[in-house]
Amino acid sequence: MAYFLMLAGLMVGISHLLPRSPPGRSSSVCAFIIVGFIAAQGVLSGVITALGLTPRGPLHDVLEYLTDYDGDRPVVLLLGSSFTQQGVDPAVLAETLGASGRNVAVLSLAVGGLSHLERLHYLKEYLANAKRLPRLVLFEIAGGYDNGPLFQLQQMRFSDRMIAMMDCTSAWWAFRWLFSGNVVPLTTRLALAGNILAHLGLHVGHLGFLWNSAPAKQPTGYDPRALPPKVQHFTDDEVARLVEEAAQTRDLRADWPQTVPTNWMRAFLKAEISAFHQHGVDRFAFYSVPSMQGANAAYARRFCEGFSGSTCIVGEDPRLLAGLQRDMDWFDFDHLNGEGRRLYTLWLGDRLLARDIAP
Amino acid sequence: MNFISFEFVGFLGAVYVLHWVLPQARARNWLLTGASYLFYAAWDWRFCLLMLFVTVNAFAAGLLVSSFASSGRKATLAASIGTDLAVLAFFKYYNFFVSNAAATLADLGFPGNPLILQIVLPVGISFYTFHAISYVVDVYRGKIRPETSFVDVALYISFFPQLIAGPIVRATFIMPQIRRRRPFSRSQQATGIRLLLRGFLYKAVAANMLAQVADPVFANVGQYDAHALLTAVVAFYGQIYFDFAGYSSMAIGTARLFGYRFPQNFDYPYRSASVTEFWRRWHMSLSFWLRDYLYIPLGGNRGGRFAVYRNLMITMLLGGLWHGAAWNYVIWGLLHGLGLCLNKAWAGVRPNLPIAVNWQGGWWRTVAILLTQLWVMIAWVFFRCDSVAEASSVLGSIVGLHPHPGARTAPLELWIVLIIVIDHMLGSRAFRCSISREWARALSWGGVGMLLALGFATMPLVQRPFIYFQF
Repeated sequence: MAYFLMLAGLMVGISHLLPRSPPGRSSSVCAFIIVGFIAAQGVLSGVITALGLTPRGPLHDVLEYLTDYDGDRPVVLLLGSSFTQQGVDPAVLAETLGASGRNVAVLSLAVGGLSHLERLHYLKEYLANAKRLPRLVLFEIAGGYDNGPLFQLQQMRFSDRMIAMMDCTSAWWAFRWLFSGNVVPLTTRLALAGNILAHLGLHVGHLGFLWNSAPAKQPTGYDPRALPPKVQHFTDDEVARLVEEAAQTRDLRADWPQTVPTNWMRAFLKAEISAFHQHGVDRFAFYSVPSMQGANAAYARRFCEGFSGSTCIVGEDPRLLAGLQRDMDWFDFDHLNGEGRRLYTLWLGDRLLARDIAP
Repeated sequence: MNFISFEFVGFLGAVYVLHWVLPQARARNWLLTGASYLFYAAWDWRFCLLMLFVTVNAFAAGLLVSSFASSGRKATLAASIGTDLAVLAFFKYYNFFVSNAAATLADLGFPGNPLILQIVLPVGISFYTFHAISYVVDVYRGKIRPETSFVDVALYISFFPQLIAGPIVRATFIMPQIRRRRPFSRSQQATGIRLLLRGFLYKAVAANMLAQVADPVFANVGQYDAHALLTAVVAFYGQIYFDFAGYSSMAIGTARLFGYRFPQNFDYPYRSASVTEFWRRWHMSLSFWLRDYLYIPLGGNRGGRFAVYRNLMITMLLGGLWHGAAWNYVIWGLLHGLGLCLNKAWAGVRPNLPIAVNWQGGWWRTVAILLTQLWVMIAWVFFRCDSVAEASSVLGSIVGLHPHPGARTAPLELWIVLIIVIDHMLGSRAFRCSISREWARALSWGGVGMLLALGFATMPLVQRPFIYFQF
């Protein structure tokens, strides 16, 4: 805070010291203002890069935890959203693989509401700063995120998080999705396009960035196992029925494209994998976490059919689902909890071993 | 619609372009009046009707005052001011007076159920009712002629840069500007932009940063230790200055973009060496309004020492109550009234002292500044706290009257004071530099761009509303 107060004092002081010259021609005034603005932005970009500043919040903490790993064990990286954050216990997965002689460290880049655009943004930061690069990357399959990459932008409009992730690459992918077909009505498309540009402008202009950022290397004490307490409750019978119904669902949600994965999603995954390739990472697999929303399981099934050449694990094994029929196994309608989390993680570990994909 | 928001930038841009595209003064006044009502409707459209009522009352009273003979003039003036004060009293003070009257009656053995109403305080009501009163009184005193154009009066009362939190612009000052056609002037635009930038840095950067220090502590006074309370008090001392001076600068700058000149509202008040001087530098438009429309009509400096003290205390007490319907504002006003009385008394005693000292310069002035600012800071505690008891507890803890264990915060007092000192030292002096006009221009406007970029990057993304918007 003291640094910010100093900076505030400096700015206030400079504002008093600026010469009160007559304005001159409007064009030259505008040109001087723009040059001053751009020059300051250049300096800010340099300072932000040099200090390794990232926005405070869950992603800053995750990034610090990911880049800080410097052990000898090969890294398995989980890439996902709240499905993975709630559904996969990295320590249990590492133990499961370790028990079969695959002595790995499992790290998780999984945060609630982590859209694909945000994931790519932080993935690049992680790859650029990681002390140990991953040997295996596990991509979460989630129909909602694959088919609505701008949903979070609408939900968290003009938040620190959305502004921070909307760099030129994110904007490019966002526009590509927006104009990749009839994904949303024209009016929504125009509104989203405006939002993308506004977020991009705010990102490029570093709006509010210094205030809400910290060096990525600043220790945060992030614990990937710490989860919020369960608040949504069902009866065990309800859970059993919902899990059963989800397993039998074959249809996707009506507002999702019926082609799985979409061309956009294929291209996006290609870009993500290419980012890994550039850092020498070449082993990948896909997995889905069980959900009580049938459309998610249906989507994961079709996704794996579309990526038949890759290792793809759908969390719909009847033996696994039979163990997830109590209220305490679920955090809410979509996410696992407690013992359910452990069961699924053990199951996933077994599947990875069976496919011989783990390093 | 906060001044520091995308909505306001869009609104201002649209109104600005339309204003300068329109060729006629009449059309511009219509545009600005409509835009001001739109601006006000962004809070709650229903209150536009209330503002319209206050405007109709002032407009009609202005015409009637000029057409009546002596007794009718007085009655019209009284009715008009009474109506404005009744509106203000109902929306702002009804619940305060009813609940306090009920409590007093209960203490006297007459308990009852007071009728407490769920009244939403219309933003800016304290300011636009004062504008309306100013207009009618100035017409009554013959300082301005009654306006025959309703739109011009409506624009004076509702003009959006000063609508929500002032400055309280006198009718004598602004009506002539409204009547004439204002030409586009580049130097006015330049001044407007500089003032907007200054206000933006004050509010978005300095005040909002200090709010991050002060707000959490004042929200849970009981949870922090005495040092944290002191830091929060010093932070609020800085916050309210940068917040309100920032708002005023932006308001004056915005008006300047439309060719209007508003009076100065702040003149580096924290370098005042007496409470009297403080009120010549702090919220000047209010203090001069209170002086001219309340203190002087009460008798002002006439009628002996105690009459003057009484007038000062009444003026400041009502000034405190104007800020909010709560006892802590009353205490704040009383402290300032007391400060003014002490200063008056000291001014009377000083020439008769047996020692010859230059009270206006050197160390004596520094001591006087420190004492005055300490007084002002103590008064701000009552202004900021939710109740008199809470303010007393904060002050008692800071001076060690009772132990106050709790969480600590970073000791930032010196940094906060440093920002204020930098602002007051550099802002109140005119610097000259011997560089060519072209270089000065490049430095000036390049600096504006640079500060804008730095301000954007440094400001907290979530902007708090201006403190004075609640009054």
